[in-house]
Amino acid sequence: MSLINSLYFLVYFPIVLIVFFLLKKPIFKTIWLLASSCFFYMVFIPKFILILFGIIIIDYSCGLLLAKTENQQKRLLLLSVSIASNIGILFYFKYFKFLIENFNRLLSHFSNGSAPFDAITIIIPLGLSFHTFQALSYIFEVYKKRQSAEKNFFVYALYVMYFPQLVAGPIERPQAMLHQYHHYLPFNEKNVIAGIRLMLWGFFKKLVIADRLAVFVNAVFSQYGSLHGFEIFISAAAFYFQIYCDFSGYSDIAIGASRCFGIKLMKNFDRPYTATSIKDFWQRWHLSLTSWFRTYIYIPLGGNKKGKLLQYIFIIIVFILSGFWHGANWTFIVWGLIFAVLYIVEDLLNFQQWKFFPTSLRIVYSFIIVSITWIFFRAENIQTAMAMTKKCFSIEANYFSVRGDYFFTTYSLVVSIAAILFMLFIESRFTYENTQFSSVQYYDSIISGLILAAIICFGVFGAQSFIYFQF
Amino acid sequence: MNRLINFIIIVAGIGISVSSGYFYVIGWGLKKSKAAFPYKIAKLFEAQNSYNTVFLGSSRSFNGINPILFDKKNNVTSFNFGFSAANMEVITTYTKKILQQKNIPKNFVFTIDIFTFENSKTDKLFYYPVYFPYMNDSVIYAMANIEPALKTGYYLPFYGVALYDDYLKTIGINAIINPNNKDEIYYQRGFEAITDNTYRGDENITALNFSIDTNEYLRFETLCNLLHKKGCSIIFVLAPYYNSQLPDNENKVKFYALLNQLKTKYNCTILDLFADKRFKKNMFYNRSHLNSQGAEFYTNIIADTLAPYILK
Repeated sequence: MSLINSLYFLVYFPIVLIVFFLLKKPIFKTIWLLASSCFFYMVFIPKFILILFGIIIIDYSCGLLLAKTENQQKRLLLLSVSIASNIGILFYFKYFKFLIENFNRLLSHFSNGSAPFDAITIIIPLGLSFHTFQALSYIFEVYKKRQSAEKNFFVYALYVMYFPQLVAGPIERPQAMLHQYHHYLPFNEKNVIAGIRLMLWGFFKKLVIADRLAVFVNAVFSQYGSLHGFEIFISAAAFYFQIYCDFSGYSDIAIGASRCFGIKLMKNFDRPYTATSIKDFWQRWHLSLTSWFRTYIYIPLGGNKKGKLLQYIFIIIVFILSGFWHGANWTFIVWGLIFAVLYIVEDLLNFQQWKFFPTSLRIVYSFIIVSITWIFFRAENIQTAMAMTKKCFSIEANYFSVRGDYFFTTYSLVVSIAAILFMLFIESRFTYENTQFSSVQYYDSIISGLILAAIICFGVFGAQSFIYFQF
Repeated sequence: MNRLINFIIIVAGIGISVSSGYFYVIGWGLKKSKAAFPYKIAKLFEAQNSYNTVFLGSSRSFNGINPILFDKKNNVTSFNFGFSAANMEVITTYTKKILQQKNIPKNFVFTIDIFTFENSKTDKLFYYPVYFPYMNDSVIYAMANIEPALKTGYYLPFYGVALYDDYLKTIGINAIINPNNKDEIYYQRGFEAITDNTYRGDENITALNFSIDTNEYLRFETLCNLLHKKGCSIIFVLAPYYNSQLPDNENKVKFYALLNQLKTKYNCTILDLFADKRFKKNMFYNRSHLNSQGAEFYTNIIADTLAPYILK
């Protein structure tokens, strides 16, 4: 449960915003935002904030000590302490259970089928992977001396805990954020209007499209055995739109909420459904994570400067890590691996230079390939994903006959298609720099009002949490 | 500041007025169309519960149990009160409503399965107030007084006329909308057989990770207590699943333990057909739903086996 997808957010957010602008001194604004972020985080499981604060204190101290010493050994030790703390916490909460399960599976072959370790259940703190990566980017930047250590503890704590991006990003860099917490912009109604507009748009994508498609997608993924390949493909394509609208919807809400405070967050998506290749897809999907992996894993490994073979190995490593970042399940690892293979194959074939392949066909190709890949992301296990993918490519009686009374009502189908077409139209003219639905101010307000009406009339309330909150 | 205030006023004004207009038009359309179609619930209550036995459950009851066949074998009058996608909350609500009527049926047959006490996301898909808010009739209003959650459905958007086709399919009203057609005589007892005889392939059972919700169980136990006090016979039928060789896992064991607990406490009868091998592939529409052939077979088994336990 998070505040952002509950009605309480309608009370919480205006209060935080109004008090923020009533405060004059930047330090008070910072403390207020930090206190609000703590409250936001504690709505989930309050005690987890102690872990988060523990990590913040360690990283903050390591950052200060790194800035004070030039001794390379000491610097490396401090970096290691910080990385070990962050990754240790991430590993325990997110991957320890996975490790135990796989150990049990492996060792049970040698111990007459009995599991040597007891099964465990661990609740993952909200947005753990996101704030861990954001904290790591700070320590890496300070270590590399591309960023000076933050002296003000409240500012650093806010950098990790800032509530709009705390649970699902975008994963920011210290260079982009820290100075904003020292020098807040004065109240600007243009910013607040743009922020509200973006938040409305995010809620539209989440409540009208993503949560409605979820009804269909969940039903198909839990009963795929009795369905045909085409139906499964349609559900995979629906999941593509669902996860895009869910995650980019959250990003829009986060960026919009932040813009109301006058704080700028980076763009996280760039209409990925218009990608013309797999490479292009990754230049449009979850930009902050892609950029993180490129900066802190791919380039330090050697990037494209050590020959093609090593470059491809680095690409595989990055994609597998990216998959594993999403969750402790083999499905995510395979999902990452598939993307790595596709990425490399396209590169080997020099796909982007195929001039005889028109852009429209490229978009269709990318859409189909990415949709099928999502099956691995969404399926509960590898066997299910394999069986579903196999069905997608089977040629036996492929038709669409999902019974409306169990899976998807005609009404939901009409609303979803209309909403998706509307989204495609709006996003083709919408930019994050100028978040207006129309260049005429009057029309823009009317469209915003109609979007609010659409959310009230067609939104699915209280059904689903944001998918990426679990990561 | 003026610009911001204007923006908020315009956005809120348009948002609220357009959505209010939408709900008003849809609500009006529902009221108009409602008169043309009798409702399954209304149908039952119109008869002032002159039925001796009622079958309650989801689509596995609605599509699986033929009251006419049952009545012939047991010389009683029964009504199939199954609703597609009905979860424990819906079943409990309807049962409570039945108990408020003048004449109470003597036998309550609940079609359940080992996922009955599950409260997963899948159940939420069919969460009654969210997905059937357009059940805009007096019975629902009355039931809202019993189950406060239904009030949410009452005040939330009435999706209405645009949904009517879905509505008929989903709620099972189509079972009784055409009383003039004598071929549809079954439907007058709330049953609809699935005529499609094609079993569409084996299904991977992915439901092993379900979890049993204690609240769902307690809700059901309260209901059993109520029925027991009224002297009604409580019967559980575990509906058949095709190829349902679920290994014994913690939840399966827990489910049967809870069921036996109810049996002991409230003197319930249990007919377990969950993994019954007599149900062949050609009797199923899909893994969990029988076709018309299967429904006939299923009803006959129920009628024969339960005969000694049916109060006349």
